[in-house]
Amino acid sequence: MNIKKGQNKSEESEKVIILKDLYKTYHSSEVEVHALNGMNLSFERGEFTAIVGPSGSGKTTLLNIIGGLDNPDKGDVIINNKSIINLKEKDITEFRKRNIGFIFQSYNLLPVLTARENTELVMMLQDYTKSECRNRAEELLKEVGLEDRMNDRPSKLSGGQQQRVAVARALASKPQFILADEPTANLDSKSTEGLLYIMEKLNKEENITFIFSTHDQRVVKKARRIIKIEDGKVISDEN
Amino acid sequence: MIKMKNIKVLTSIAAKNIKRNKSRSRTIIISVMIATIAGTFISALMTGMYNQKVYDSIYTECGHLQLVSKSYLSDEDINSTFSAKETESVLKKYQTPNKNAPIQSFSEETIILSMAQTARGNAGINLIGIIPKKEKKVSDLYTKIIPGTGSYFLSETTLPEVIIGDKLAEILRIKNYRITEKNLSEMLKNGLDKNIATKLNSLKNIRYITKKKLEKAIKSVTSQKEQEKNISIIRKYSTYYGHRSKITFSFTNTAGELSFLSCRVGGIFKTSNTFFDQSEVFIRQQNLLKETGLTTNKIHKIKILLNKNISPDNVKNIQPLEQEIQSSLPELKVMDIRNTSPDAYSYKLMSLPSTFIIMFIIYLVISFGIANTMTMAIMERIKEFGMLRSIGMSKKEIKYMIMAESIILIAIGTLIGIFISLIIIIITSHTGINIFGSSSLESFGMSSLIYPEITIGLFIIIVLMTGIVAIVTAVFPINKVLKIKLTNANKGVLS
Repeated sequence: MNIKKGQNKSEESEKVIILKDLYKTYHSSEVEVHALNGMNLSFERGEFTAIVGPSGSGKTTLLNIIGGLDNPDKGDVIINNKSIINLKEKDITEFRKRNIGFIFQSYNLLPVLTARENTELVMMLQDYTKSECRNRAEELLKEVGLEDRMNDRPSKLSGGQQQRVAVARALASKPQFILADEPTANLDSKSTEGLLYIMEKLNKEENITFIFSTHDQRVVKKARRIIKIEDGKVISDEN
Repeated sequence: MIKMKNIKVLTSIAAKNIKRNKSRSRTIIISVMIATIAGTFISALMTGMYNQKVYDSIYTECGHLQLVSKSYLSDEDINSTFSAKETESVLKKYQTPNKNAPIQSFSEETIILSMAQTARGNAGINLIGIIPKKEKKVSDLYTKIIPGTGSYFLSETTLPEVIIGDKLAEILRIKNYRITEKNLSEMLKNGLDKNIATKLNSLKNIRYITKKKLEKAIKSVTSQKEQEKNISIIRKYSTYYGHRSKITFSFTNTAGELSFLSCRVGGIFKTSNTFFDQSEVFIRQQNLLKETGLTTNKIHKIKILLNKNISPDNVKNIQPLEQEIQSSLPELKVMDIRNTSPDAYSYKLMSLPSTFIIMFIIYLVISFGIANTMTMAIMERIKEFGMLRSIGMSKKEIKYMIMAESIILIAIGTLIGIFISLIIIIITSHTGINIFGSSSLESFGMSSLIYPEITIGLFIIIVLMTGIVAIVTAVFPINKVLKIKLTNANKGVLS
């Protein structure tokens, strides 16, 4: 717990993610890039939010910091009333495992595992039994329309199918949040349509908070909240 | 701590990753396999070599124990003798004819420092007076008589008969080289090229008193290539031993006067120890008595061979008996292999440490190659590791997964390597292997024909080394993977 004195706890309790005054600067040999420049945001449970902005605006940095993959230079990230900044390596790993599902732009599936095994993996690392893992994976793969491709390895699946496996994997351990970094960037329009339908459906059915960064207008249209950022600052936040 | 369930999952992923990159896995397995074969075989060869040296020292040259008068040890004087009868009566207590008697047999020796001379050469030697029947029970020297050079005290001659070594025969020019019609046809039967045989005709019936002179003569009529190919056959079949040659020994007798004894060569032996072959000459004890002034009861040394049931080749097992005999015969010095053949004993002590050093060097060298291959293979999968850490796989679990991959690969290579080396060792332990040439090892007192041997210690070392290699080879990729920032790893960026 890292809530500062004087904060209105009842107001913040509805908000599952609170970002306070976040700064993040990347130093390269020639230039300094201010990826986050005093960003303040909050997210409620069950949101279906798109973060949009030009390349280099700080979308991915923002998702990485929310997901505990990176730390801000300054500011605080409070998730479920707990600050995740300065958590020990072991605790932040445990936090990610229990609370967050990631969907990557290039799917990042393990090529040696089948679609079902990829989906089961994160549950296998937790306290689920073998049959629970199997049932949940099969249920999710059915949900994303891959019931007949469960035993196929990623190399046999199309880009859209691989991304659907990645969605199933992200959802497998029933996380509170799904963070998706440009999930449709490598997909054709049909696959994008299908993926968005599935994500929206799961968001409603399982009340999971979805936050995704995107350039894709088709994704933006489906989002219930659109946050525009530029130069590490929020330009607009529309519902 | 990683949960058992997770260990199973991670091991299964590691195993699948091995199948995934087949050429990488094959490279590592083959490297480890070759290293294991090389290491195991070299170690088995060295163990065999050292054990052979110990065996020869005990069963041909020195016996398990020796009794020598303390004064003889310091001055090697002909008069520093002890009573054979009294000593025998003590030793016989330990030789009662039952299964558990520690002493199997013993043999008395009279040792005279002497100069051996022929018309062509001379050498300082130990002229050793023995009772052949008794000596045969403590030394297998009688089995080492070179065929065609005589026998072990079986001939009947007017002059006393001596048994000398191959090297001494060479020094005294009793051994020489001749190419004759007869041995040329034998050479042809045993693979000599016909062309060479024709060329050798010009060298027929000439006596070459040294190996070098023979080789020089052959060189003058053949090309370098022909010589290299055929020299061993020519050398083998052209060797001529002057069986029944006369040797005169000069020595100081018990009265301090110079005495001479002329003998005939009854047989020539060849052991694995060139120095022994050069310096030890055996004669019937009774032939020595008249010229030396000694009596049958006056001897210089007793050689004792112990029963196998007390595992006497291990010094620790014979120490109690040694102490017991020593207290019964305080005027004598009881010696075991540590004193009688210190070089053999030091080889025995060196065996395991040298095996360890050889294996360590071989495995260390391949470790770097394997570590590099592993690192390359792991770096290709950096995105996967980024994903795994993002979804909650701990650093420990990542470490375990890479380590498991390394251990499985190295264990497979080691097992195949051990299997192949076992086959090679089993075959060569029966046939023997002449790896260093015919005489180079013999000058160090070791047999040139080595019978590789495997010990439990060697297997323990292999297991230990395998573990070290697995850790060393996994440490580099693990460090690399864990150093990369998660946000970069997810994009496949290696920084």
